[in-house]
Amino acid sequence: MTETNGDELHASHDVNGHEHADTDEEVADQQNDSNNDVQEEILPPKPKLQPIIAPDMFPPPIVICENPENYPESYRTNTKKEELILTFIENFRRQYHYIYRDRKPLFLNPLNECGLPKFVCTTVQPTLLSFSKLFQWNDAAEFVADHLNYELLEPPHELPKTLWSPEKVLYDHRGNCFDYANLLCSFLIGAGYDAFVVSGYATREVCFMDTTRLPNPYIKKREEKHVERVKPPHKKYTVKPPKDLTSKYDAYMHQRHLDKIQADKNRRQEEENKRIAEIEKPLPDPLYGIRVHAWVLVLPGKREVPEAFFIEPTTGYGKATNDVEYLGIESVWNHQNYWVNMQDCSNGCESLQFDLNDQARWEFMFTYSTSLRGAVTATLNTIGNSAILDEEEDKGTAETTQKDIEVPPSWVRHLDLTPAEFQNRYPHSRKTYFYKKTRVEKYAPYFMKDGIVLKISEFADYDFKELIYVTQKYEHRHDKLEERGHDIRTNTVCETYLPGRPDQLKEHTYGFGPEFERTMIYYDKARLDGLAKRHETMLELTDYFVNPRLDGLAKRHETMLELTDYFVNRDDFLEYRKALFEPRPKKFGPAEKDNQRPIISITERYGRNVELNANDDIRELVFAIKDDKFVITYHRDDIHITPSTRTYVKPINWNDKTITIKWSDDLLLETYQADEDFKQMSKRDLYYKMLKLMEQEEEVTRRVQKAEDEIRDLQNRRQQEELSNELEYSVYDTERNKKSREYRDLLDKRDKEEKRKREIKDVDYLAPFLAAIGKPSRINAHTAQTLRTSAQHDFKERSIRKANLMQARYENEVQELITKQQWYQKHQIGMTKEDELEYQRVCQDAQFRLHILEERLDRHKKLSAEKYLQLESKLNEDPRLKEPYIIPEEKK
Amino acid sequence: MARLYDAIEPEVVSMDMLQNAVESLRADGDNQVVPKEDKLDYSAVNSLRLDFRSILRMENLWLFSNLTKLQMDNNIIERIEGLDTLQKLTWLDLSFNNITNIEGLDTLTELTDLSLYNNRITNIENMDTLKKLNVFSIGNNQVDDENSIRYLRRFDNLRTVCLRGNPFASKPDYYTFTIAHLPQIHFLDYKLIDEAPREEALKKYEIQIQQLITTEDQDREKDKKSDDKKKQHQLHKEAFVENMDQNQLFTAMFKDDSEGQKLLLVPGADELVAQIEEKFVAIVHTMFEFGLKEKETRDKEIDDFWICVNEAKDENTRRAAVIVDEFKEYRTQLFAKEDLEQQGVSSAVAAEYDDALTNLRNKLMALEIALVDQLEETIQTFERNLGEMVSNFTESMRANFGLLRELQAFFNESIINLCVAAVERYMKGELDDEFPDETRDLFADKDTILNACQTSDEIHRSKLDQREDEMFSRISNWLTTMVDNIHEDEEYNRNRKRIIEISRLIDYLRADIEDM
Repeated sequence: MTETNGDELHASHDVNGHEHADTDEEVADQQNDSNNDVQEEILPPKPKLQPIIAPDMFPPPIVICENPENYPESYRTNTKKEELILTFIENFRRQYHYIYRDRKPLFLNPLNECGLPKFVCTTVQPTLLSFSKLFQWNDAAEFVADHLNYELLEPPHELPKTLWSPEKVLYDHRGNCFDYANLLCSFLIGAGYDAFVVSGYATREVCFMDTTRLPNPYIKKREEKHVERVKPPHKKYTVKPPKDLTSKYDAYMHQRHLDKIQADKNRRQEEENKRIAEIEKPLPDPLYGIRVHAWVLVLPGKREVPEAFFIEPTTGYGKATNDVEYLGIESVWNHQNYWVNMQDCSNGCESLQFDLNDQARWEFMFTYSTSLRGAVTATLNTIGNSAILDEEEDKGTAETTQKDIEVPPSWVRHLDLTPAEFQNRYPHSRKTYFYKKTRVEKYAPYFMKDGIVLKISEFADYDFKELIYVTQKYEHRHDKLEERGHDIRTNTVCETYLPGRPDQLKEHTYGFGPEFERTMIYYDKARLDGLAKRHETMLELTDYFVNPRLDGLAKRHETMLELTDYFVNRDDFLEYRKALFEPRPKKFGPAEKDNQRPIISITERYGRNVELNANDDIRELVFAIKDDKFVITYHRDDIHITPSTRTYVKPINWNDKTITIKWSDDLLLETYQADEDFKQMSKRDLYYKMLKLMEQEEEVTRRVQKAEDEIRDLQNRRQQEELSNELEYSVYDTERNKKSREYRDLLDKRDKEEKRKREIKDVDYLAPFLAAIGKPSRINAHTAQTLRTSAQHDFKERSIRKANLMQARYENEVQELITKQQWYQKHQIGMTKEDELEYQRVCQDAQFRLHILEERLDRHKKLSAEKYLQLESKLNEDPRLKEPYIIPEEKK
Repeated sequence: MARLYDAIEPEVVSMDMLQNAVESLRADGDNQVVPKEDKLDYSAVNSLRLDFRSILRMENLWLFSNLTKLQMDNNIIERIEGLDTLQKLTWLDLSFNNITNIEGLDTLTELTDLSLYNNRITNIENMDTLKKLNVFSIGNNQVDDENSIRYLRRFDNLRTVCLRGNPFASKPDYYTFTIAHLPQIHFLDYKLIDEAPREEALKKYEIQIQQLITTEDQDREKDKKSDDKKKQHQLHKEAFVENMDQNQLFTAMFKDDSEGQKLLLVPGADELVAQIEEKFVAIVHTMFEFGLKEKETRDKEIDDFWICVNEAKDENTRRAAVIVDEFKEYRTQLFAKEDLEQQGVSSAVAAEYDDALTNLRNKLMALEIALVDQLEETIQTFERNLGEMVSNFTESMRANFGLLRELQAFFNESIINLCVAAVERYMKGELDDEFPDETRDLFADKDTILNACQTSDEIHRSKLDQREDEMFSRISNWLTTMVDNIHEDEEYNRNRKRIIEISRLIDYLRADIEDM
């Protein structure tokens, strides 16, 4: 033992110091150890081959532990077993370096947060947290990535000297890649995966957690799927297609032209792609291939994992084992064993095999684990010994003596998270990520006042300057807003809502600019009127036409407002109702808002009602309000090419309610029937039809005005909702929902009261007598007897008194009745009818009272006997009246 | 309750009365805002009220083919009649009349409400076809018969029955009997039937009802079987192989053949007949199977054809409709501009419109002609294919009939041999007791017996010929009728209709500019 070994060995020196008191076997270990030390001392002249990475030449790492007393025992000290393991590891390390001199050091026993060296396998603490969200590997990985803040390794090409416990990492919300991998591995093994921490090398982008070159994972699937129409199978009969009279040469020339354009486009696209690739190519990295990184390997076999894959813990993405970002593997470990990679990594991880039982490729540290890595049975230990230890002995190392060494249980305390901590997922409840041209901000629910949980900002450039689209997702909002997308370029906003709004709004698209367009999509099943979509837009009509009088080109510019309501599943088959408005005269002022805009026309479109004849089933109904016309178009049936139409003109005095409108032939402007066989409507029917249409027009106008009002209401309401932005809490969330908590407290309180009441019910019948003799703490047999008799006596007396009282009242009542009767007898003759009635009523009352009293007396007699027996049995069982006559202190 | 017949003059259902009844149902009454129609459109009326009119005979109602509701209560009707054409009737009220029998309702299959309250009916009967009957009122009649109640069991949709005021209803166990026997009704005499009394009633009549149900099930089974049989037969008929699934043809050959039947008494004929029958039936059966198979292929062919034709027509119609719609759009735009100028259609626009119209007409006509071409060709192909199928069928059947004839010839030969042998034996006096007397003289002479054989053979042959002719003539008839119909409907009628429609449209559209 020399001090020259540097500080890293200081700990093992201590270990050795403790070990003197241990068993012989460990003494032997120590001897081995000192042998190794001797070897180690021989080493220093040799490592000329790798002067940079000689492990013993590190400066002493300083782990400042401010308050070690806050950590549990296992964090501050090493158990004997752990010390034994540490010596064993040290041995392993020396041999390893002796045999493979050009390999880099292994990550074996870094210091923990208390400055104590701990074996990496024991730092893995398999834990299954009680959140179902952490049960799948991708969710768990995402959680770890979200939960921690990333710290870079310093320097990037060296292994860290410390590895904190996953517990500390979890609570501190920060860690380097090893901490990430360790924590994630603990979760995954706990969830039943065959997961390992991997120590190796990766590209700069991975090591720096630089995701700005990755595409945005939250990209919206905006493109709708094109449904390919399946052509019906070939049939026996087909009509020959109509003759094609177009010129083949023209088509050919046209095609050639199109091809040329397409080729041009392709070429430009390719150039563009190349340019983008050039921009996105990372800068050359001087440290390429020696940047140390740690990640997680999941092997197949458990939890239905079909093949081995990596998980990048810093981002939470799954990666294939041949991913080009990973450049090499030094070692892997889990909570049971440690394997050193013996395969060539000169071309990355591409050709690596992950059969850890293959000893040519993976050098293991503990023999038993190889057998444990198969089926887990108790007898496997012996097989492992016989089969594998032979080779061990061939190597002639000291490992034979350590065949029974096991990895001790983890020194880390069980990981735990409160639901609140889990919900706050991110460090300080928020986190920001950068992807290619995208910035993603995540927030914990309830953290932000407006309920935002995710904000995705898409940019046009790589420097995050030119914003093009912002998507914000919300949760727990009172107005049920779920997502808001803001297209900066067109200045339009698309909001989606969850079901449950009073107006059943599902989607709302609107713009801010002068182009006026607004679309509202509703949950049509929840609406009584089946409204599915409402669309409001400004139509701009620009017509150029030749004016014959002026012989010039005139231009007419006209704007019209269009409001369309689309319906689904209505009993009357209404599909949409479209209203055209005249533009409102340009006046300003708030009063303007209340005016209804003048309607030009309303069009209603109906679906086919199969129960009616096509020719009687209205397809389109136009109320040309401005022109005082109705235009009806009927459905076209399968054999006709034209629909029937009918046009009415409103009578001149239609607005005058006092005049009965008379039929005249002018009212029916024109009729077209597709087939002369169709039934002609009688004049009477036409007349009634027109009256009905006029009624309908009023109704429809009202509907349209209502729709307008609804839009205005919606705008106002949305503004108010935006301002109030209160979040709502689930009734099950007692931590946040005040009402819920109050209710629960109330229940608790009621429970308690109930309990108390029950206690009170058990009246202590001995208390008054005990009080009479001054509440002694002990009594003797005699006193007990006295107490007993006095209690019984008291009870008897009380019941007799009660009975007497009732008896007395009864007699009293009888006496009164008799007097009354006598009085009646006397005055019977000169009595009025009313008095007589009064007398009868009094008598009845008295009789009733008598009856009740009688019953009560009876009941008392019966009950008092029973009660007496009860009292007696209670007194017999009372512990205070028995040996040793101790009277417990009364609880207050 | 006797009505004073003689005091009332019976009325006749006249045109005036009907007109009046129809008019009175209209809301406007005598209002003169609409000119009165001179003619009554009978088929447009779906509800008619002819009550308190002393009508004696239900007549002159046959024109109201779309009538769904007819009220003829409080008349003096004695017979239900004249309702055969009112097949859409769902509501019929004949209460307070003098009807004695339920009859004449067989065609009213849609009827759900029937009221015969206060009549003189003694038996509930003749209502088997009213499957949809829901409410039935027969109160205040002379029904006094358990069987009438049992009769109502057959109406599965019956929910309300009124039996009050009948002699039967005054019997003590009337209520329990009725609710036990009519489990489907919910209301008896307009009162809801409770569960408890019904269960009790059901318990009381458990055995009788059980028996009823068994017999009803048997009846139903029988009906179903005969129905199936009918359907089967229809199918065979359409395949032109009816009565060929078993030995019907063979037995038919011997049925009208009295001579032949005597001949069969010849010793050894039994085995021969059995042998021949087996072969014969085997051949007939193959013909039967073949026929069914052929029918299937024919049906498939026809289906394919119709799918193709309908698709072609739909596609064509759709395209034409698109053209028309586009034109209408164009028309509105064209005239919308004009109207804003506050003057008539300018001549330039009129000319443009006229050109567009001609163009439209040409387009539509071109489409129609293309369709006619397409259909014509397809129909021809179809006709050819189907003709081949039919001739294939005929040939194959002919060959089989040939086989049957050969078999008959063989049979004849064998029977002649047997007969000759028998005659010889008779000559020798060998057969004495075996023959019955009446056939004895047949075997007395060789010529007689040969004659008899020949007659029998001829009869058998003619039977076969007859069957063959029938089959072939029917199938060729079927083919020509169908093909003719297709030509008529699809080529001629359809085309004419479309052309008329196009010209109507063009005329209608041209009127726009002709007015101005």
